[in-house]
Amino acid sequence: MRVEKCYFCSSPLWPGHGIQFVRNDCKIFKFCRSKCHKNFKRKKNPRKAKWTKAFRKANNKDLAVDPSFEFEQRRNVPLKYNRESWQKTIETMQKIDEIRRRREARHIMNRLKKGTEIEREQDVKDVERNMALIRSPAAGLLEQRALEEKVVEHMEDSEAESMEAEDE
Amino acid sequence: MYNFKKITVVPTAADFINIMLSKTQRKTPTVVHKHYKISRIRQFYMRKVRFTQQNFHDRLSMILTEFPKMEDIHPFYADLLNVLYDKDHYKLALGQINIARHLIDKWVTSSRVAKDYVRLMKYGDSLYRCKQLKKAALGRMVTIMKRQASSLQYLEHVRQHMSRLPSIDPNTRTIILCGFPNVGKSSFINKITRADVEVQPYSFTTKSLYVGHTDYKYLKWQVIDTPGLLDHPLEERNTIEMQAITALAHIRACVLFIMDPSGQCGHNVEDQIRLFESVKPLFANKPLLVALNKSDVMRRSDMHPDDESRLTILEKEGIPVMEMSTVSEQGVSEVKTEACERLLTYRVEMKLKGKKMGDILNRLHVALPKERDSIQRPPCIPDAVLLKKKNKGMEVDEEDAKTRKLEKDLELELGDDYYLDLKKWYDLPEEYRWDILPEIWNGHNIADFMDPAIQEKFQKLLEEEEMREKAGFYDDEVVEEDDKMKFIRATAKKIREKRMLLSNEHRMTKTSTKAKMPRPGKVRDRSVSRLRREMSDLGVNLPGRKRKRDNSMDVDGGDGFGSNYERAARSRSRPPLKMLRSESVVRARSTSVSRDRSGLKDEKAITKVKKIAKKAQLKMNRQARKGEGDRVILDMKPKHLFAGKRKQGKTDRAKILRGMRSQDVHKRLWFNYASEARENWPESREKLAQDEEDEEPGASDRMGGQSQLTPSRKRRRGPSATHAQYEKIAFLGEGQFATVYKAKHPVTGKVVAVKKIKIGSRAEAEDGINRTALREIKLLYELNHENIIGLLDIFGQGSNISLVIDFMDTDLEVLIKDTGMVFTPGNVKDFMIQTLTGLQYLHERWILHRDLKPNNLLLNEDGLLKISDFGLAKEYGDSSRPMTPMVITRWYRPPELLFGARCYSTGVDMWSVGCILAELLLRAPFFPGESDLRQLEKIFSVMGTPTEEIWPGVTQLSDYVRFEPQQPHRLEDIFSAAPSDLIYLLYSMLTGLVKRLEF
Repeated sequence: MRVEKCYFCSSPLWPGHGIQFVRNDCKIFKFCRSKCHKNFKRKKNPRKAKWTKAFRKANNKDLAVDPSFEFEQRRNVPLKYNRESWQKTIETMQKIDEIRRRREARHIMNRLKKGTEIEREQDVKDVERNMALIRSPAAGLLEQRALEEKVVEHMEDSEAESMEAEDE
Repeated sequence: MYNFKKITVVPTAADFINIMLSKTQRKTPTVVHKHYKISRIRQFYMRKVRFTQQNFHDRLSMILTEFPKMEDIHPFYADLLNVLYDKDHYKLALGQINIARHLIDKWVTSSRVAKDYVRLMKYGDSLYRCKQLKKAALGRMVTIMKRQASSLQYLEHVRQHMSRLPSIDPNTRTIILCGFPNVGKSSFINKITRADVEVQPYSFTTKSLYVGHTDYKYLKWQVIDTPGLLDHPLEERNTIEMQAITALAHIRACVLFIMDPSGQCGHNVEDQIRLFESVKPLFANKPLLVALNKSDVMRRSDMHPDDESRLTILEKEGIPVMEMSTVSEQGVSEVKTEACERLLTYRVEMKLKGKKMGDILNRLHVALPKERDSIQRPPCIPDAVLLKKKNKGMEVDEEDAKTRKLEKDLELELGDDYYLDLKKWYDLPEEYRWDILPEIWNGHNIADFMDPAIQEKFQKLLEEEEMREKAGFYDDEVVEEDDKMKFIRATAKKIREKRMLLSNEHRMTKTSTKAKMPRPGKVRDRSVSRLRREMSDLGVNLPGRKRKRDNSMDVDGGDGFGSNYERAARSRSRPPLKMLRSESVVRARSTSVSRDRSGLKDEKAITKVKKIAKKAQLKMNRQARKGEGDRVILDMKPKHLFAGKRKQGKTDRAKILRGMRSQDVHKRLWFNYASEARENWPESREKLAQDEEDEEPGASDRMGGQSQLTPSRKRRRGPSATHAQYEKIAFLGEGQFATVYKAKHPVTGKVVAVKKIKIGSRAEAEDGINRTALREIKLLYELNHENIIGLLDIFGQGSNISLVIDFMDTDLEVLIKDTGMVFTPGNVKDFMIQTLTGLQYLHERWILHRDLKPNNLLLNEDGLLKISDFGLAKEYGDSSRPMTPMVITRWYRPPELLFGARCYSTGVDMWSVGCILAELLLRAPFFPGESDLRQLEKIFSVMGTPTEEIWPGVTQLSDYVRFEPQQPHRLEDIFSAAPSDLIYLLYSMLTGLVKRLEF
């Protein structure tokens, strides 16, 4: 029993699931669900559908090339069973999986970093340009004017007083 | 191969002719008319002749080509046909057909039927002649064919026989059986082929040639069974024997001469040998074989020595003699083989002798392989196989197999505990063998990771990972934002939100391309308060009226800038303290509650009640009614249901008759009326005419009551201010001068007819309204009688003038024309009495109607009859004023008017009434004249031509025309069903001539 891969979206295909199509040249196409099957029948290219693994790899959304991917592959070489080696392999593959996941996550994080930077630049620009949307340039003008007048009055008063004082 | 089965049937002469002629009829045009151009007609018939000729030609040619020609076929068949059908007869028949074809054909010398007739056709000058020519042409063709009847019949027989001939191929490998009758030829052919030839113990069972097919050396052989031969000269041989001779003579085959040594056939060996000798010339150059049949009865060794010696002589000549028995099948196949073999060698020899052989031999080459080298190349057999072969039979293996325990044995041994364990055979160490392998982990196939070198690779990966960690690949460099940046981002977020709000708002309010519903009640969304709110959101505090929550911040107290705003904002003035006298209301009203609110506690109750009322009205609304009491039917009598012809089954209009008043009263009146006429009739015509006038008072007792109504009339016709209010219901009709509508008085609800007088052309309009209309108005205005149409109202509208008159449902003409309705004498009397009552009323008031006809006698549903249309009515009595004779519709016009009398009186109306009465009885116009003269003719044909004696002064009339004197008809003959008193009445109405003129 094997977990196969969907031809279209590359998702795992558990036993008892999906459908398979055998072309007249004996190539076997397995599909995880009717969506993938239908897309295939419409001759859609999985690299062009955004929701497939193929697209994500082709467009650098996911990590595509890494030595951690090299371990898992179908080797058409018969191996005689050996309990120790089998056990060891299971342990190793778990570790490998961990590393692989870490690397993939890192890839995505690195990719997203750029977005934050751009966002920040955009914010600065926005604040410079569109401040009027939330605060009018005329805000507080009246109060300011009134204040200024008061100050002038006050100054005049004080001047007058001082003048008077001088006069006195 | 010769196959005579495909010859088409030869019809008999009669059939032949039928076929041809019907084909001509079917395949050529059939419609021709004599008014066609002659060339077209000629063409039409020429085509028929040519077509028929061509058909004859084709069919006869077909016969000629399909039947085989003696000269062209294989001599065997030629001879066979000769033997069977007589060559001369055959040729003669075909020759006859050929001649017939030529005769019919156009291109042959002496009598070319088709060509001749086609030529003659060119001179055919009419359809008839052309047709005769065609007929002659076809006839001649038919005659020619008739003469061929016997030939055709013979040919048909021949065809049928030929189609049953065996299909013998004269060129293929053939074995011919011959010999005396009853020697076993047919038994032999039955044995070696699948042919099923009849075998009987008497001679000449086989009467013709039979063919069977057999196989030898993968070749097909044809075996021909011939009828038995007798030993006599050729000339004496019969047809059956001659068939055998023909086959022997012409087919190059192996001849198998069958003899019967036992003599059971009725001929001894000597006879048979003699026959053999006599037909021997036919066997020249053919392989020959003598078979002694019936060896089961007599073997050759048992034969008489003389016979034996005869056979030996034959053998010496090189003719093999073989024994066989068709009963025991002994020697049959040997004979067959020998015969085939001999024929085969013979044919090969013949071929080798032929010229063509050299060409083929030159091209033939037979290759034989040569040895390459001397190395031996034995087949390779594995040792194991050899060993096994060697051990075969020693049963070593089987013992070996017994030592191993089979699963089957295990199963028997363990019983229920047994289970099929295949793992025990796994080629693995014992402890691993039964391991259960995990196959999948976390969506990965473990087997995919199985790699002998996985550990090394993994080590490498680990090293790389370590290096990466060291290099800080996984470190998160979190950039700390400073306060300024944080503030910027927060502000930017606010801006974003605001923008989103604005764009959403815009999206909702933005103009669409679709039509917008006007919403007058919509509250204006732009307002000072809104501006204030928005501006304050943007941080601008507008001066002016402060909102309550801003009170604390209020700076200025109503002066300057802000106070201006405040004053402007106060839109309403305070209600004045004093009230105008005119505006004040009585207490009762000012304190009253409106009706829809009275008795209701509060606002809630009011809305509830309103809702209920609305719901209750829903049903009524659906029926387009105002309420339960609304029973108005707007169009009582829709025109489309009441106008026009009545079809079967509808008797609505009979209602009019049904509604008639009691007939008894009328009967009485009628008798009075008629008896008076009768009494007065015989004395003199003058008296009669007098009576006519007198009869009317006979019904005057009814009138008395009527005249009392007169004073009320004036009131009814007072100046009408409400005329414009008539509601038009339907359009009734249009006359020469007026259009009539059905209308309803809005107040009284009375249904009336409104007659709108046409103003006519401009010139007419200058003179005022139409004279007839004026006359009608003038007269009607003064008249008021039950049987006269009543003028209810007159109103003018602009230059139009409209008369409002009684609405009547139909008129008498409609009833007369409606043949579905039967008038009883009572009905007729009723119509007449009402007409006459009305007329009496008119005449008493010195008015002549001058246009009486059924069309102008209107009827309503109750059977009330009213005289209408006073357009031609005039006052009479003044003899100094001549009147025009051009009045009254022609059919109802009396003869004096037709003759142009200018001085007349009530007699003219009486004539019309007489005509109407006659029409009521006849249900058709009495005198339907197409012109004035015809009208007179019609009248005189019934009433007799008037002379100076009967009608003094008739010749003096201005338009007098002399007519042929005619005797009057008896009216009894015309109205056969009418009682005598009715005839009297009619007569009196139609013969008041003198009286009329006298006046």
